[in-house]
Amino acid sequence: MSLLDGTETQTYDPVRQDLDATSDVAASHWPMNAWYAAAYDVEVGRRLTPVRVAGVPIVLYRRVDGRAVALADACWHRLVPLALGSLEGDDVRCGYHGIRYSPEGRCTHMPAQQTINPSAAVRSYPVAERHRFVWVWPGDPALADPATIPDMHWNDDAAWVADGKVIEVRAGYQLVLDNLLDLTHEEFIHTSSIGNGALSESDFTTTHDSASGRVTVTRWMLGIEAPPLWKYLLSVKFPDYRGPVDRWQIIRFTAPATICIDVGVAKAGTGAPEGDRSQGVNGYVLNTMCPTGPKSCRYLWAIARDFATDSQRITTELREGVAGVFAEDEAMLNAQQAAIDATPGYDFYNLNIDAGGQWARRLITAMVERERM
Amino acid sequence: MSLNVTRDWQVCTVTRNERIATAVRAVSVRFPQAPPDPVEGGHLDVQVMVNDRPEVRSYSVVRRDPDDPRVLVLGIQAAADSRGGSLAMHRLAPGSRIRATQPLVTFPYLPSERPTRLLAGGIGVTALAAMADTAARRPPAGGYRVTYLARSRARMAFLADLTARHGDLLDVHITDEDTALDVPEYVRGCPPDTVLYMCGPLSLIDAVRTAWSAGGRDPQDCRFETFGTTGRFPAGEFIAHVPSLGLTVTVDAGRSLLEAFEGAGAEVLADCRKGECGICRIPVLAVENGVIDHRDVFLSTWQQETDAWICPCVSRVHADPGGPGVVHVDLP
Repeated sequence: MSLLDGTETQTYDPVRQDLDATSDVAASHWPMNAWYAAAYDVEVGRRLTPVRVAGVPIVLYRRVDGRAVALADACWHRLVPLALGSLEGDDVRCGYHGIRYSPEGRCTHMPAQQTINPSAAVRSYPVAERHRFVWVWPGDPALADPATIPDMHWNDDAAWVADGKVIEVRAGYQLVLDNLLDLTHEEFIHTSSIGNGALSESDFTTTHDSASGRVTVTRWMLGIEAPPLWKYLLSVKFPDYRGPVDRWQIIRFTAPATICIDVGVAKAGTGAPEGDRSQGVNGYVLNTMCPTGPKSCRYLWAIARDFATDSQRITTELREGVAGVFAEDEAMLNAQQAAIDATPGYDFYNLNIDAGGQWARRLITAMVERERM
Repeated sequence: MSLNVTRDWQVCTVTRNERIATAVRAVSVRFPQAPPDPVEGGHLDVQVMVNDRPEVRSYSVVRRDPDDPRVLVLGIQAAADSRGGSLAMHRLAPGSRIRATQPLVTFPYLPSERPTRLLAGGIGVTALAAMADTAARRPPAGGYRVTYLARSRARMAFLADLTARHGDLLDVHITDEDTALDVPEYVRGCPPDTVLYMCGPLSLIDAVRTAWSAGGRDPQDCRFETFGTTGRFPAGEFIAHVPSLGLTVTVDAGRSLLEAFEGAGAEVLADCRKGECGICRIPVLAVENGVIDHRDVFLSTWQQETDAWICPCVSRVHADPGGPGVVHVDLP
């Protein structure tokens, strides 16, 4: 019987109670049947790299042929982290008593006895590499379809140039989603780079699609003065232009943890809102979160652009510029989580600017409900 | 018992209980909320009343109810020598409350792209059905097949389900219908690099492991679970003698050597109690009027042939005609 059809509202329901508890702002919750970007491609190699994916300890490495592997980071025998062990070909040997596992998690060697215990194994998680990220599926392996990995193709598309970094945030991933789904904060946190008064003065639209788990927040700011970073980027393509711009931010959330933001400015009145962006510059801010715990996450991001694609200088400047902007967000998010924890029993007050974040929370909760009933 | 999860006991509700084959019933159990654990190769530990005393029994999870992830289906056979646990489960009416753990995975299914074979003998099908279901939902690139053996069709639990699920990928072999499995031929027919999962009587497992090694295949690719209840010979009474303690115990057919020692107050370390972990193995000094029926999978074939050790949780003495069989052991 569905929890959503209301037929059980009069009876005590432990699942409902549990979801109420986990939708508390103090701690993020997440579905297990989802792809999470556990690491950047360059973070995974011929070495043992421990991460947490959806709160689960996992060790990442690459086989000799380069394919990525994700094993539970706890030896079957005494639960020590396999990341403290060593690679032997495609296998991992535990650093404590030498028990060895294949990339599928099967025990391949057990010292001190002539047989291998039939139950000896660690969980091996489905892995897929796409858009420069190593994605791990922590839930039911039979449901892991790489076709459902969120589209972040701008990160490795020949027509775009992109680069990014990883931030270990000491705040739940849902707080990061809130941050990215309401960019009015730019006016106050990021005053020296991308913030200006037009952000909170302009109107926005929020749409959602429950079936595909998507939320879109669209904001156009027409005929405004470009903020400092955008003024510089527009000058790279149009060195002589000094006039007003039409600016856009189209935020696309894909449940549970990915946000791609289509951003840019164009010379005012040249048709950008109608689809002609030829007189402007376009970027994509790519963000995907791996919940490492209820109050922490790995935040993987990249900034992509479709102009001056042959300029390494712009690539470095943009990556470092965005890193500086995100460091400002990180400081606020860490402080927010600490303040939430220091204020138990209080809930958020939601304003109209929070519509995007609230839709995202609802879609995530629906995914969790479907898993647990 | 050897497991790397802590048991989380919960009060569950029996939602269905139906006969599905001779001496086998499918019992559906609803948890307060869906256990997040995988069910492939998992069992529940269940508290059952045996002679008015609570005891713990383990039953394989056959599947999760596709319409309600809180409901897990168990397949329970009332064995002829049942000590009462399975009969108590057979009698549970829908609505009954029972205490059960989350799924405990002691026979993990490790999805891979390699050719995959699942081999079930008799009630062993309950340990493989969920794996077979997962293999069907996410077929390995190398393909999979399910093989199900039984003495008679009437004893085959979940046969209709498996037929509907796997169609041509299911092979059925029934002794009473003269279609018994030729094990060496079966193993030869497995493609190179096959991973085999099997559960069934020890005689089947032994035959497959022998053919597997003879074919030069890697032993680690032959994965199996035993319920620790079958051997090369039927269980019979025998005597165990511990000279260092001056202790002699009679082990009747319904008890293990380990239980006999424990009943006599002897100190023996044990853990898995199904012949896998080897922690209970003790040195054998001599055997009289019989042979050791090694029922464990811890000792290698070579180690078993030397009769230097016995795993008392499962292994027994099979007495010669005229017996009684006696094993002299040490309890260090």
